[in-house]
Amino acid sequence: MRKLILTIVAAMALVLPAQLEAQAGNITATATVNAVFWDGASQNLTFDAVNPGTAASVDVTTGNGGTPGYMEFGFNADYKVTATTLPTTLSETGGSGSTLSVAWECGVSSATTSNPASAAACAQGDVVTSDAAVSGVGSTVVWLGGTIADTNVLAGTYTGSITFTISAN
Amino acid sequence: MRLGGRLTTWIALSLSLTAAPAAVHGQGGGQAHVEPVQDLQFGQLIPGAQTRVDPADAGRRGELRLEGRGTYQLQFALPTEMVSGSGGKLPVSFGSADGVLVRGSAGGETAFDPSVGTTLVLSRGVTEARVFIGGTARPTASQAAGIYSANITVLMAQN
Repeated sequence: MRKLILTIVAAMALVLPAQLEAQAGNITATATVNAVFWDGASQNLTFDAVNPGTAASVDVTTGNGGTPGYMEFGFNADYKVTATTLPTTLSETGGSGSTLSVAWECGVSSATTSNPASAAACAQGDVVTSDAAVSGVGSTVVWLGGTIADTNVLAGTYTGSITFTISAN
Repeated sequence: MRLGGRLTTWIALSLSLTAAPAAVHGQGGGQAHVEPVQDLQFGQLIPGAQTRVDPADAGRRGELRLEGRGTYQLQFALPTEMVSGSGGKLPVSFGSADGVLVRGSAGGETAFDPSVGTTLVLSRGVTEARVFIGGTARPTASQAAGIYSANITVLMAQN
């Protein structure tokens, strides 16, 4: 009987060592970087002096015929730039009601110091440039030129308001 | 005398059996348990502007609940960057003031550096604790838009 008891105690001793425990848990760190768009530098479009009966053009690729207009946009996400307001006529500022018809052209470059390599006809509502694979912060410049075909109008200064809008693509 | 000898022997056996379970736990006690409570949320970030979440920020800090009985070493596997679905990487860091340990429901707070870890003692009467994790997100000036995330792992190992 005594021998049996000793055996039992010894058996218990073999399982005595403390069982080390380890547990793990996970949480997630999260952050959202907002899509941000902003306006940069801009320049008005100006035709050189227009003579009645002579068509006038401003070429965005060369700057000939006047001063091309441009608007610079910044972004950190996929974007599109839309010609949200691009009137087909310019209005005489003296209140005469006289108008000049204009056919627009748009081009795109990466900086305000470099003219676009090419241009294409554009009209109100057109998406003039876009990028669906943006990988970081960047900028783009939309240029505006145009042609006034019929210059047989009342002498005066003619103007128009133009808007380009950058938004998520 | 023979009867007395048997009685003595029986008592010794019973005590041994009772003692054994306590010895099994040693410095440990109840089973350890780690429960995630809240993710670490840096929220809306702007490229180029770093944002820190303080462990005292109850709405944004990471939080885990720990349960057990004994002495434990807490270690943290911390990311160096969060990653977006398109593979963008946003640096993140953890400093000496970004960890807080609270024992029990009314225990004092102990600050610690998550990159170093800390010791947690859970004894009779106090069997749970909470860990609060803060950190600093450092979006670069050219950080692309997107949702970024990374895992934080807490290891609770018994000493």
